[in-house]
Amino acid sequence: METADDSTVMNQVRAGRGDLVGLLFDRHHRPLYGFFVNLTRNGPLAEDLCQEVFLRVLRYAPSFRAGSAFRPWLYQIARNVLADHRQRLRPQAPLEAADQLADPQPGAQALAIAQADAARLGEALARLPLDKRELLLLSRDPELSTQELAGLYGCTPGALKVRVHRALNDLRTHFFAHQEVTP
Amino acid sequence: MSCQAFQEFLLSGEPLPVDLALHGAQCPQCQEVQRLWESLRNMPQPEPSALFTRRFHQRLATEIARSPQPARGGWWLPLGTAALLLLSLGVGLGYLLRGNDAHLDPTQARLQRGNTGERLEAIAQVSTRSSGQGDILSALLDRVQQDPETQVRLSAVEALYLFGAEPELSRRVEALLPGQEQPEVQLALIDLLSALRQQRATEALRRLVREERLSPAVRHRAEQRLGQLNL
Repeated sequence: METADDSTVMNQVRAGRGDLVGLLFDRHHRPLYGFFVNLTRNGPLAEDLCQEVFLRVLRYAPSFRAGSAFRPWLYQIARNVLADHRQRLRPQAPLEAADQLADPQPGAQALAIAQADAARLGEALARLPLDKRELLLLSRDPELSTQELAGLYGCTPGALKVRVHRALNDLRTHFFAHQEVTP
Repeated sequence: MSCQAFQEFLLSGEPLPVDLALHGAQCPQCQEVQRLWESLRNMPQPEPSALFTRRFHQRLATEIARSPQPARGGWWLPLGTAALLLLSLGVGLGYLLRGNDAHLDPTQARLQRGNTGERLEAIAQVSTRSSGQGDILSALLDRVQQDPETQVRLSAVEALYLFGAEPELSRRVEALLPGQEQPEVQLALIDLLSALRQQRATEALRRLVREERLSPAVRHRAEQRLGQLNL
């Protein structure tokens, strides 16, 4: 089972092998955690969200369509988990901008300051509205095809490219504006 | 139009046609987008904390144990349930026959009276159980409070994450804090309180930061966690 593809593993989970969610966790939790950290800039929160995603993989395994790709399904759950989290948080903080989520976690900070560009990029990302930030972070995932991503967003691949293009240009505005004021 | 075409091609990862490549070489705006896209794709991959993987696997085991098994799980499931029932009956009878001074099961006895290695092993074992939660929770809290070894106290704190759904856990964890002298254990308890995300946990952290005799590192961590809970 260690070498079986994700879809095959999920079929086993559906058949009652809940323990195999652990295998899927081992394969996918790092990029998913990265997605949440870059989105929220909060390491402990990202761990909570990441854990919730895999627990939902276990609970909602029957809804996984046999033979379909696992990764887009996983990220659909991740988007739902994030939406639920925002819903719970709404009365106190809308989570529109990641600036509102201070990140005192040394591990999460370390990633952002690993390279000067990466730090500035993180800041520029944080200035984007959450939906654009989410789209850019998903579109950088090499294991998610344009077709799969378009499926997640319920649009055509062409429309998706236009959305990413616009989000990237907004990011560019923030990124280079910040560079101009930096000595 | 060329800028949009260039950038959409860029995002697709496909090789650029000659006319678009020429446009990219001459257009500063597209060069900026290209640089940005490459930076985005090469952003460093953050790593979760060292305990995260272990904590998830423990949580998964608990979740599986609590969830109903599928009906088509196989002939061994009813037999397994019957065996568990028989075992419980045996333990119950043994308890009645042996009297009150033998009320601990072997794991709990090792947890309380074993050597350091045995206590750590017992903590790992109780973490995977799904029955007798109340007793196990008390035993773990007892280890955090009394164990002479810091390592055992820390392992017991880690196992307490599995009892996050217990409504009284925040209160009981808070009660442990004043008696702790080891900063590592204090920090671990603060992290646990923060992870519980219960109203009581927030209040407990607020009280803690008002403590005068708190070490700077512990106070700093408590303030950080409080800040996160208040988001």
